[in-house]
Amino acid sequence: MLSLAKRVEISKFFFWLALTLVVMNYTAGVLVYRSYTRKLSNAKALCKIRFEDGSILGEVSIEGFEGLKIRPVDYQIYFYDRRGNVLKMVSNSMFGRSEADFVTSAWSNFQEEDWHARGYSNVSIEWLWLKVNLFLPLEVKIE
Amino acid sequence: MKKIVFFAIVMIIAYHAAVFELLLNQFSPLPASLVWMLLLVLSWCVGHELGHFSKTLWVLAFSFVAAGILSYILIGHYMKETLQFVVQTLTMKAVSVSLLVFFTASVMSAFFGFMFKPRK
Repeated sequence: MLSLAKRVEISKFFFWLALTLVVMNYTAGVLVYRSYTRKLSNAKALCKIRFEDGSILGEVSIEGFEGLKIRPVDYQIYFYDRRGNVLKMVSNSMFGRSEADFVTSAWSNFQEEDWHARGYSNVSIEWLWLKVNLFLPLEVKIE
Repeated sequence: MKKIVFFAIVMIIAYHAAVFELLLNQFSPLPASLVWMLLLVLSWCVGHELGHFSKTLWVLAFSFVAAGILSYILIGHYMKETLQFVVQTLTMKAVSVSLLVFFTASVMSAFFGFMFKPRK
């Protein structure tokens, strides 16, 4: 059996150990979260598309992930008409590269500017002990 | 009185850290379960150090409410840009169940700390 003084010392040690760990864990969590969201807010997924005699030429690029290890997984681009029907869908794997391009045939009468496009990209990100799969909206620009 | 204020501040920090651990789970280095264990160790110390259990209960209840308000304010400050996967973990059910569980567990742990303290 330990003496009373020894027991008080041990319980004090555990108290300060627990408090330090809780505070350090909290601070580290908040700092990591803050810098992670700051890094992510600079990130962008872009898609430039061009129409050339009946076909669509597109370039997908993912940029702005400074300091993060990223692996782009895939992308999907949807072309909708005014009522929200899908005219065309383009999707492919990115194979871990941050750039990809595609060529596909356009739908009939695409010249009528009565449609809009929306896209998504899945990216897996590694940073410190974080491993996250993120769903990025794709900005579609028409040239 | 000094002791009560000291432990109230400690428990506010601990409860606040535990609430944020639910949100920042994957961002912080320690797992959530370990943070809960540390919270129980701290509660045990509160029960062990304060003379009457009524005082302990007051300290814990006050810190819990204060930490809840503090967390509510700080969530708005730290997490303006909520990421999709963070929002997913923020389901009402999980949060309320966890709050209830770790408050009652912490009170019980403090009571054990009070029960097993050496008497003169």
